[in-house]
Amino acid sequence: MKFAHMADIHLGATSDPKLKELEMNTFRKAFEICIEEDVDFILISGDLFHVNIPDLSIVKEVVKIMKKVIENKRKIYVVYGSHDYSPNAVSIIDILEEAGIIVRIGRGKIEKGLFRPEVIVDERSNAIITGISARKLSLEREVFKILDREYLSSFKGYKIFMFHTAIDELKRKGEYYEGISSTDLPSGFDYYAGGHIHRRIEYGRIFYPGPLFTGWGVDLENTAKEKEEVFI
Amino acid sequence: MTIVGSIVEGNSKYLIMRERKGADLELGELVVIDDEKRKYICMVYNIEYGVLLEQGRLYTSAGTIIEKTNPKLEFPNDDLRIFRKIYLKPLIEIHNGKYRSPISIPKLFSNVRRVEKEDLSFIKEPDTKVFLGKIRSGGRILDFDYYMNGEEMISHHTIIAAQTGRGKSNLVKVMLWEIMNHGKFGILLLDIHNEYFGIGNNKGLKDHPNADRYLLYYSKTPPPGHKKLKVSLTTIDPEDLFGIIELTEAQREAISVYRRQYKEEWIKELMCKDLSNIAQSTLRSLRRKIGNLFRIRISDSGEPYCEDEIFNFEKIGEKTIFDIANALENGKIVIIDGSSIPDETGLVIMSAIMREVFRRYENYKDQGILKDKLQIGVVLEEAPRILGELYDKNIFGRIAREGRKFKIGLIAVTQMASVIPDEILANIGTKIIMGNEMKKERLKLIENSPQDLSDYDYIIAGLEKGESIVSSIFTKFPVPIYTPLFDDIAKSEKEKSEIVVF
Repeated sequence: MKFAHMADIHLGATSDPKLKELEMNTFRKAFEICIEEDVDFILISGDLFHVNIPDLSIVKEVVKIMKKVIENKRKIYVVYGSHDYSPNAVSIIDILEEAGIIVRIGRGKIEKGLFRPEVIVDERSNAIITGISARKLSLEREVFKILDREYLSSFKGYKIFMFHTAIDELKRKGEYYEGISSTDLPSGFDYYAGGHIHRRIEYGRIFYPGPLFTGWGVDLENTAKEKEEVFI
Repeated sequence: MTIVGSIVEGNSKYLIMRERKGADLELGELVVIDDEKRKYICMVYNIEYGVLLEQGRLYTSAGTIIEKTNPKLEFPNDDLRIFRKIYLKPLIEIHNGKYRSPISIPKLFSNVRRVEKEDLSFIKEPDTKVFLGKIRSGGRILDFDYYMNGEEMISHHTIIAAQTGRGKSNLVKVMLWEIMNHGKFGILLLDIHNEYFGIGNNKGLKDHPNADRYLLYYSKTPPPGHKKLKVSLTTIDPEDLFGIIELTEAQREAISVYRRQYKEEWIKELMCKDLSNIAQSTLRSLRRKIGNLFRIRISDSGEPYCEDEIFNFEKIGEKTIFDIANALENGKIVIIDGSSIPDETGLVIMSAIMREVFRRYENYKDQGILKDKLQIGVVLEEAPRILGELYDKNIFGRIAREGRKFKIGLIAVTQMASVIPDEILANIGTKIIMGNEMKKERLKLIENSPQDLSDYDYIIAGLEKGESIVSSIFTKFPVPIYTPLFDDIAKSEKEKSEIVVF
C-alpha cells in the first residue's frame, strides 16, 4: 500500500499574483508526484482551502488537478480543517464531495452519548480510514472526549485516523492554539494523519506534513528551508 | 439548653467549672458561658476529680469495695462533695454582637452549656471559600460547615501536619473539591501516590462536575482526554535544580558555565561535551546526578538521549511548562502524576512551573495589574527537605518568604514539621494540625502557631482520623474541625458537557 498525506495547503492564502501562481503550481506538483508514485489514495488532513468559500477560479483549478487522480481510480480523502469549516454555511469541501471529487472523512453520529465517526474502507487498498473534522477555535476537542474508542478498535486491518488538531506536547514556543493530548487519539491505528501544526513532524505514528506552500507568513520562510511537505 | 456546669474558679487564662453530674464532658469539647452581657466560648482542655473530703476516707472507701468487706459505697451518687472539675480555655468573647479574643471573665457561678450551631453564627462564610470540614466539639460533630477565606489562606501559606494515616490527603482533596466549585484559584499539585485524580473507578477530583473546566491532569500514562506529561529539557533552567538536588559550589558553577555557553541546550551539552575550565571529577559527578534525575543515557554514537518517556532533548513538550502556568493563571487545578517518577524529578518540574509563574506575577506586579490576577497555590506533599535544609536555595523557599506579595502561596503537607525552619513556619499563616503521637512534632507546631496552643498538646495527641485544629492568623481562635471523607463528598454526578456534533 502506498498513500500520500498532505495538510494545511491553504489554497487562496496569498494575494500577490506571483505567489498565487506559485501556490497553485506547488499544489499541482504535489499531485503530479502522487500520480508518478502511483499512490493508492491521497489524504488531506484539513485546510485544503484558506477559506470555506474560496475564489472560484482557484476551485476550478483544483478540480482540474484532482480529476486526474480520480480518473486514475484513486480516491482523495479529506477532513475539514479549521479554515475549511463553516458553522453556518456550505463549505467548498461539501461541494467537492457532492461532485464526487473527494471523499469527506469525519461524519458521524452519536450513539449512547458517544461519537461514532463513519469508517470508510478504501476499495483499492483495503485501508480503513476514519477521523474527526476540525471546527473553528479547535472546538472539535470536545468530540475527542466522547469518541467511541471501543467501536473504532473493533475494526481490523491497516487503520488510518485523520484529524486537524494540534497535539499539545508538540506545540512550540509562540504557538498558541488549543490542542489535545496524544492520548486523546484513539489507540490501535497504524497511521495518524494530522494537520493544523504548520511543521513537518513525525511523532511515533503521528504525522504532520506541514504546509504545502504557505498558510501563515512564516510558512514561506520555512517552506524555503524544507523541501518535502508531503508524506508518501 | 442543658446546663452542664457552673464557673467556680479561674482567671483570664483559664476557668474552672464544677460539672453537673452526668454531663460527661470530654476533652476538646466547646462550651458556652452565658453571662449577662457577654457570651464566652471555651474549650475543655483538662478534667480533674474534685473531692471535698479527706483523702484517707477515699482510699478506705475504695478498699472496702474492692476487698468486698463492705460492698456498699460509703458515698451516695448524689454526694455533692464529689464531682468533676473541668478546666476551660476561653477562646472567644462575644459582646454586642462582636467577637474577639477574651478580655474579660464571666461572673462566678455563671452557667455553662454545650455549644450549639447557633452559637457559631458569628463565623461568616467568606466569598472565596475553601471548605475544611465541620466544626467539632470534642468528638461531637456539629452541623456547621467551616470555610476559610481561600485568598487569605493560600496567599499566607498553609501547612497541614499530621502523622501518616490521619487524613492529610483526604483534607487536601476536600479543599480542592471546593475550590473547583468556583475556580478562583490556580493550584499546582505533584501527586506522588497518584491518588487525587481518581484513577479508574476510584473517586477523585475527576468526578467533580466542573472537572472539564477546572482540572488538568498530566501523567506519563494518562487516560484518554488527559495530558501526556512531556517536558523538553530545553525548558529546564539551572535554577530548577538548585535546592532540589544536592550540588556542590563547583557543580553549581559548572552548570552556570554550561548555561551561559549553550543557552537552552545546556543539559545536552553538559552530558556529552567537556569544557577545559571544568574539572573532570566535577563533570563526572554532575553527569551522574543530572543523568539520574532525567534518566539520560549516552548512545553508542555519543549522543545523549532520555530513557524516560517524559523528558527529551528535542522540542517535544516545549510548551508544557508554559501551558501549565497558563492553566494556573486561569484558575485550574493542575495535577502532575508523580507516582512513576522519582520525587526529585517531579519537584524539578514543579520548580520549573513555579519559576514561570513567579516570573509572570512579578511582571504583573511591576505593571500594576497583579490585583486582577487569580491567587495561585502550590501543594508540596511530603517534601520536608525542600522546605527544610534546602529551602534557601529553591523556588519554594522563595515562595514561602516572598510569595504573599505576588499572590503565590504554599500548601505544605507534611509529617515532619520539625525539620522546617522557624523562618518558614513563621511565614505560614494557617496551620492545620491533625493527630500526631510524636511530641517533637506537636511541640514544633504549638510553638509556631498563631494562637496560644500551649494547652493543646494532649488534645492534639488524641485527635482521631479526620480531626484537626485550625490555627490561623485569620481566625480568632483555634477551630476544631472534622473533615468528612472525600468519597462521601464526591457523590454528585459529573455534569454532561454540551456537545455539538456535526
